[in-house]
Amino acid sequence: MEEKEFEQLVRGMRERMYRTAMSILWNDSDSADAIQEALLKAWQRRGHLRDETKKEAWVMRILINECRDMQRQMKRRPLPLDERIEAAQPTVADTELRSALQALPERLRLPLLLHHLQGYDLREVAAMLHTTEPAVRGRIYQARKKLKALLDEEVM
Amino acid sequence: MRRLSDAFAPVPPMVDERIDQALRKMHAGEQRRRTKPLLALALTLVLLLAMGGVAAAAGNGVLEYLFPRTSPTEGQRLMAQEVGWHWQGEGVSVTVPDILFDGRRLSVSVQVQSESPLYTLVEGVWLDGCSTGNTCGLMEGWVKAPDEGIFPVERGFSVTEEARVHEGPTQVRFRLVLLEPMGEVVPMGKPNSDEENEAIQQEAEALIDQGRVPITPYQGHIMCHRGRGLSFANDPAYDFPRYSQRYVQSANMRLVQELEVSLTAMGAMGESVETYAVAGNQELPFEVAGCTAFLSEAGTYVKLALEAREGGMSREALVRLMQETEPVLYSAEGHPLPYQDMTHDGEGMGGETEEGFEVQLVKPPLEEEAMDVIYLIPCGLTDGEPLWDCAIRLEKAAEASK
Repeated sequence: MEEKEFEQLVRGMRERMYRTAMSILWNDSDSADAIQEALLKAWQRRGHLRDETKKEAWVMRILINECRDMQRQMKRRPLPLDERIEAAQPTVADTELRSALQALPERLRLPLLLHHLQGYDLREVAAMLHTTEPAVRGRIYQARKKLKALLDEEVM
Repeated sequence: MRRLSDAFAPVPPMVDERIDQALRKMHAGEQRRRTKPLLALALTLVLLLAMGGVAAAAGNGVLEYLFPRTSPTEGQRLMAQEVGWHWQGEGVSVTVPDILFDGRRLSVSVQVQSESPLYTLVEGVWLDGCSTGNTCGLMEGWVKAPDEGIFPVERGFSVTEEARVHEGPTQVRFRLVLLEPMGEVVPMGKPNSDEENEAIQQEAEALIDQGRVPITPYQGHIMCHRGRGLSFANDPAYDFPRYSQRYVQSANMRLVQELEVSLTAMGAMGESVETYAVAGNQELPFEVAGCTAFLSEAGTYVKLALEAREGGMSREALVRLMQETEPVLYSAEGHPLPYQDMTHDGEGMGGETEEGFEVQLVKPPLEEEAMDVIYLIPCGLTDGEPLWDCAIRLEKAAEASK
C-alpha cells in the first residue's frame, strides 16, 4: 500500500475510527491516543496485509486491539474508570442512548455498533473481533434486545 | 425509533490532530527512507545496537513473555527462576533463560535463533515424570518466518495443572522439536466458509504432492496431506501424539533436532483460596456444584463444576452446551471486564464429568485480591440461540479459607 493510498484510507475512515475507539474507551483523549498509535502500527505492518480489499477492516482490527491494550493499562492507573468517563464525557444528542450503550457489555456493544452504525458486514465484523459470523449475529441480536429493554424503544 | 449515531459526538479536533500527527510521522519516516539511505542505515544500526542493549538490560525472559505490556510485581520478579539451559548446532541456538512456577502453572521462556527458516514446537511437558496432558500446539510456529506476513512463534509457553503439585522442588521436563521445510513454503488463503476451507485444503494437498510446504495465514501452521500417514496414535515412549512425525510424513518437513530439556523448579509457592457461591435466586438450568478461585502471584485460577439438574438441563445437553461455547469470566461488579483479559488456557482445561462438566479458567493477576463477584458467561450459540441470559453471578463466600 502506497503512502497516498494509506492517507486517503485513513481520512475516509476517521469518523468510524473515532466511534469505534469511543465505544471501547469512552474518552476523547484516550481514543485519540489509540487512533494515532494504531495508525502508526498499521503503517509499519502494512507488509502483513494479505488482502488489499480488506484494508479498512484490517486497520480497524489493529485499532480495536490498541484500544483493548489501553483498556488493560488503564486498570493499573490510579483514577477509577468511572471518573475518567465522567470527566471526559462529550455532549451528545442522546445521552440516554449513550448510557444504555455503556451499560452493554463490550462483546455485545462492539458488534452492534460496527454493523449497524459503521456499516461493516457481518463477515468483516467477525474478522475484526476474531469470532464467527453466527456469533456476531447472535451478539447483535442480544444487544438489540437489551437496548430495547433498557430504553423501551427500538434502536437503529 | 432512536438512532445509534446520536449517542456519539462529532469527531473532535483533537482526533484530527492526532491523525495528522500520525501521518506526518509516517511521511517523515518515508522521506528519510527514500532520501538518505546511508544515514538511515547508520541510524538503524545505532538503533538496533541500542535496542539490543535495552533488551539485554531489561532481560528477555519469562517475565517479558508473561507480562509483555505491564510491569511484573516484586513478588513475580522473585518467583522467576534462572535456568540458563543452552543448546547450539546446525545453525540453530536454543536458550531457556528462566522459568516461573507457582505450583499450578509452569511458564517457560524459550529463545530460538536460526539462520534459515525453522519451525519449532513443544511436543510434551512432564512435571515429576507425569505428562501434563494435551500440550500439542503449545508454542508452535516459525522461528524465522519464511514470509513477512507470518507471525513469529511465541517466546515461551505455559502449562497449567488442574491440581496443585506437591510442596518442594519439582522436576520439569519438556521436549522441543525443530523442523525445517524441504520445499518452498506457501502461505495459503484464509477460508471464510466450510466450502472455502475444503478448497484450500485440496489446494494445499496438491502443493504437498509437488514437494512444497503449505502453511496457514498469519500463524503459519503447517498444513498436512490427509492421504499420507496421519496417525494420531500415542507414541508409548512419548505419552502423546507426535505432531512432528505427522509433519515429516505428510507435510514435507525435515526433523532437524529433538531436544529434551530437564530442570528443577523451585517448590510450590503459597496461594490463597476463595470459594464462591451462586448469588441470589438465579434460575439456572443446571447446578453450580462448586466454584473455587486459587490465587498466586502468577495468576488466578477459577475452577467451576457444573452438574445436570432434574427438571432442568440434562447432562448431555450441559456437556454439549459447554463444549460448543466458550466460557468466559467477567469480574468487577457492574463493569464486566473485557473478555480479552482472560486467558482460556489452552485445550483440555474443561471436560466431562459423571455429573456434568468441569472447567478451569486462568486469568492474569491483574488484581491483588480475589474478585468479590465473578460472572461466568457461556457465550456463543447453542441450537441457534445466544446464551447471554445464562450468565452466572457468583459471589465470594464469607468464610473463605486462606
